[in-house]
Amino acid sequence: MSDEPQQAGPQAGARAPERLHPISWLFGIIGMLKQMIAPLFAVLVLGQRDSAWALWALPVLLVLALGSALRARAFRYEVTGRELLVREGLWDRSVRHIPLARIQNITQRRNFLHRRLGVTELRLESAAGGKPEAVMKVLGMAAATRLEALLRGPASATAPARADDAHNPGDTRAPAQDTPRLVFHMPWREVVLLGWTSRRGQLALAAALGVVMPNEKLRLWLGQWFEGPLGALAAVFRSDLRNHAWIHLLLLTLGLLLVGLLLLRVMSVAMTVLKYHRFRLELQGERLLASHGIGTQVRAAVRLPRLQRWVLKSTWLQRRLNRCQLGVTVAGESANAEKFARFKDLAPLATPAQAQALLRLCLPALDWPHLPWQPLSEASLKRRLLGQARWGLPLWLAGLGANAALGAPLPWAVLLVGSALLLVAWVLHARAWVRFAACALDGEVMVYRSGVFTQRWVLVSCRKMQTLRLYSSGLDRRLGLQHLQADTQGGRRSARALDIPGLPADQAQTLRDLLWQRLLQPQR
Amino acid sequence: MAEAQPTSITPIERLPALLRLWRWRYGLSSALPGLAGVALALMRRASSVNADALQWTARASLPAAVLIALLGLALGWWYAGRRFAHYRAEHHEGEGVVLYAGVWWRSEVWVPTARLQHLDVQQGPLDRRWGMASLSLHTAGSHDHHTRILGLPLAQAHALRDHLMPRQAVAHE
Repeated sequence: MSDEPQQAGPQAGARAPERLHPISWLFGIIGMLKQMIAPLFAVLVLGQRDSAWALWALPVLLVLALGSALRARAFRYEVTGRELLVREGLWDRSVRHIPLARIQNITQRRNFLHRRLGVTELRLESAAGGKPEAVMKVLGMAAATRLEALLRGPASATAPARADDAHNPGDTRAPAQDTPRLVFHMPWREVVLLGWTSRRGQLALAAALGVVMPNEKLRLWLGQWFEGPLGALAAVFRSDLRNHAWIHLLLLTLGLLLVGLLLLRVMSVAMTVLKYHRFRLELQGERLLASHGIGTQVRAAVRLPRLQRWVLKSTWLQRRLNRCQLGVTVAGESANAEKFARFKDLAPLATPAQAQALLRLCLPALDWPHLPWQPLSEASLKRRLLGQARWGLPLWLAGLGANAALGAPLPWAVLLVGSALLLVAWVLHARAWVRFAACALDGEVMVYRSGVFTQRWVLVSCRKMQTLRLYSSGLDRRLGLQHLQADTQGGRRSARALDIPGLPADQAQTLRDLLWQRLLQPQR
Repeated sequence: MAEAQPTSITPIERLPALLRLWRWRYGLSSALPGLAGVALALMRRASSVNADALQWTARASLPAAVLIALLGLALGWWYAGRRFAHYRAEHHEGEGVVLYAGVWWRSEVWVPTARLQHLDVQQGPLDRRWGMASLSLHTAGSHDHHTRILGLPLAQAHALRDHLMPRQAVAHE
């Protein structure tokens, strides 16, 4: 399948109303089938083997398919001056006028079928978040590139301020300077390393078990598959126990554990490669373009000023390998948006130097090595211990009670020693947490770091903050502490962008006042 | 607090009717378990034929339930008073609105005027009776996007809304 016929030039072509790619009906139907896959699966696999439903479902499906094809045919879009006009609908027609300056995030998604047919799905989002402004399902590659160029043009012309400090001085709409500049990419080795250090495999296994186990049929089916090997294994174990072949038993157990871990890791690597293969981050004017993936290729674009919050994270294992990861929250991308459309990784795995370079790109004024770190209050250790004891103590008492009620399956001495060790580990962990946690205000950026095994640095630009909040419980006030919290656009609804616990009350007020002053400065 | 700036801070009036509303609301809702007990005890008393046959526990259940209900009422009444005492809002001219709230978990929310997306004035049935209204401040944030100032006189709620209304000229990034 070739691209749709090109018209005279990019400018002239965009003036006339354009349609979707002729193959769009196919993707409409596929989208519909995807939504019905759960009920279909339920009927086919779990329901009774009665084929009469097919007779009823077929006409309904046909009507729906026809409707989807007609809807795709009725879809028109055109760029007129500073607006994007989208006409859609069969019966109830709608015309949407979307000012070009309001289109903030552009995402392209291509799965295997899209690539075979040379088309792409384009999704345009505004600052409002939630539902995208327009979804073009699907466009020919040439048409998509043309539209993207048109949408990009006026936006980068109206906001020249950021283009200057984004290493692209004199950024105009001249096409020669508008070529993307590669700022980060992940070679093959890095992607494998990312998979190796991630828990993707474990999570996938847990999710699969969560689906399979509650369903009796699937469980039985799984049981049939694994009955033979598991039975054989159990026989070996039993004979070992009977013959006191301890070394053989030990080696067998260790070997099995190792093989299991290895399989999980390999699974993690495979999944990561599928998702992050050829991860590339490019800078075009003031737009960041990220593209990655084998199975489904995603290409997302956001404007730099839309970035709200950066999270630099590094697990214990990643620190041993001198790696970290850099995530980002973008305004207008609420968590309920579909997963693929979210722009959330600047670098899934990078060396600290690379992460710093990316941060400098986004926040040129940030002076990372000389951040004025302020530690949390001394009292926050007590606060943390007391706060956790609230949950830990009842759990521990319940454990003791259960042991007593069951007639002491665990000897009391073992329990006592275990509890003492746990107590020491708990206090040490809290102390390490308090020692590392700190916050810093550097010019326009508020930074908060925390964590023991997994350390994270949260960076929020002061001008992006929406509201400030000081919060304290009775316990906090008794210890003279305050939480300093701030909210930004985008990201998860369940958590605040910034939440610094355990600041001395006066320091929290001073910081709040400084942030408030920066927040009041007029936005660009 | 750092009050060095020359901005004028005007406290936003809160009506005593808000205290009345909270007293009844918290009083009644914390008296609810006790009231349920009273209802159960009364039903039990009505279903048995002669009162002398009742055990002493059953006879004591009614006064106990009444006591629990009264205690709940007093607790709710007291809590409402505490909440009202700590509840206040301030308007920082040209900067924004600050809301102080909470009894045990206290918070101080600072909402800048420049970040306001839209504002609502709301009135429930009891509010209308007492000439009271609440003003909702909406920002574009994802977590604390909604801040509500309760217990304003209706006229002041409207005046404040008009005063804080985002100007058209302000470009939102």
